[in-house]
Amino acid sequence: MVQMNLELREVTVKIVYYGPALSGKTTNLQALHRLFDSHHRGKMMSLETQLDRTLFFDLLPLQYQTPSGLKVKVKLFTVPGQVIHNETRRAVLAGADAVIFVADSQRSQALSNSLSFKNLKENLKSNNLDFESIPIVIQFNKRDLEDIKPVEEIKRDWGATRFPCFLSVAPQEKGVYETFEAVVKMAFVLINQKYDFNRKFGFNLHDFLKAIKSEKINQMIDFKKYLATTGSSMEIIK
Amino acid sequence: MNELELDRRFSLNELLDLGSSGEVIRALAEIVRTNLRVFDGQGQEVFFAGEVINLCELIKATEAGDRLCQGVREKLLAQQLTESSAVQIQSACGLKYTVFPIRYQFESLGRVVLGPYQDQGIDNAKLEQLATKFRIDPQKFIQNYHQLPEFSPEYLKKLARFISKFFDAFVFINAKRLVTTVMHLEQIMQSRDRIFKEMEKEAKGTPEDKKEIEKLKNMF
Repeated sequence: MVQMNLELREVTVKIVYYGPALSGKTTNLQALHRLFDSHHRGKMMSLETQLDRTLFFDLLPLQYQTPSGLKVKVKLFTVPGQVIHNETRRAVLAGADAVIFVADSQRSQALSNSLSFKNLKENLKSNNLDFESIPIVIQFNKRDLEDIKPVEEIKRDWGATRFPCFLSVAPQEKGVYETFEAVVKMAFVLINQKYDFNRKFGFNLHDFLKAIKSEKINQMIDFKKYLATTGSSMEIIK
Repeated sequence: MNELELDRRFSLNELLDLGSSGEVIRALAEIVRTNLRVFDGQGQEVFFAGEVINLCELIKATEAGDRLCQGVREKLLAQQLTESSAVQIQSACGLKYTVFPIRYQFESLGRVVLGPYQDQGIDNAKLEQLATKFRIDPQKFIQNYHQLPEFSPEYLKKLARFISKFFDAFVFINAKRLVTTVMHLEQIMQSRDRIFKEMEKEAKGTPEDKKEIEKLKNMF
């Protein structure tokens, strides 16, 4: 749920990267940290990793100020993917405004993806968040590996759902920004519907996205290439 | 696990471990030969490295001096600071200060004040005028003024940037450690609760166990 602090004139939006262990959630945040404009991103906080495994969470904050002086903060969190860390996952997910589910594209990981997606449903419920309405984008990561779920299958299996699906290779920064932008658009459209945000606070999503993008993003951005299916959010994403 | 602990707002005192950082800051102030003060978000001075400035003592002892010094202090604390920019402030007695913020993830936690140091644009004639204004012996005023360090704007910019980066890193590392510790403690508390619950469950036990406990209870 978006946090509004009118006294401090700031609004905080929380986006959570969810998914099974080793699917590439932290790598997504690391790539975004490299890609975002340095004036608008904070430091990436990665909490205690053992052999590249997130024990608690990662956090990457973004900040943008509207011409009217409103501070818009977007906080990107990752959850620890390992099954045993469910308490932390549930805590990180609390108050989320949108979720990016990072799936491992390898066929061998289908079960881990399914268990994690089911776990996302359960943890949303236990946090009083509605699985049916919260913006969720699915990212099929690790497209550079062998024996992965083909794009045709992704379109077939997910095309009729409400979830937009993206393809990515997070260490190479491919498809990472596109996934992020899609979920941000979905989150802000919903926030605007609920709170008349744009009119009340003079917020413009286009200006926000323009401000946080570095020149590098502008050069590599390619929605056509990395978007597998729009789900029911075609208008928003386009 | 408490979700609020994941991204809480910190105060400067929580993040500035002066026991370990203080020595470094003090050594740095000695190298650059200028006073360094750290103020928290409420304007309280939490750290000072440097020495007594003779010129300041002279000015403070004058009729209007104390009020003027207080005015400079208030100006240094009230100066609007954006991001990591350093701002120079000139005092009525011709001295200069540089002030810049200490930030953690876009939040301002406090500020650092460097100075006083000489203003390169002031010549002896102007200093004499200032001395007369404060009713201080001009020779004494000029002599004490020139004892203060002199920095080129370029050097000062670099110095402020370096100190700002130092605080930035220090505060970030401490925040990370603090959050990690809190998360570990939360985990320990959860494990403890789980063990208690299991013990409680065990304590209830089977009817035979209960009978035995009742029997034992009567024996104590």
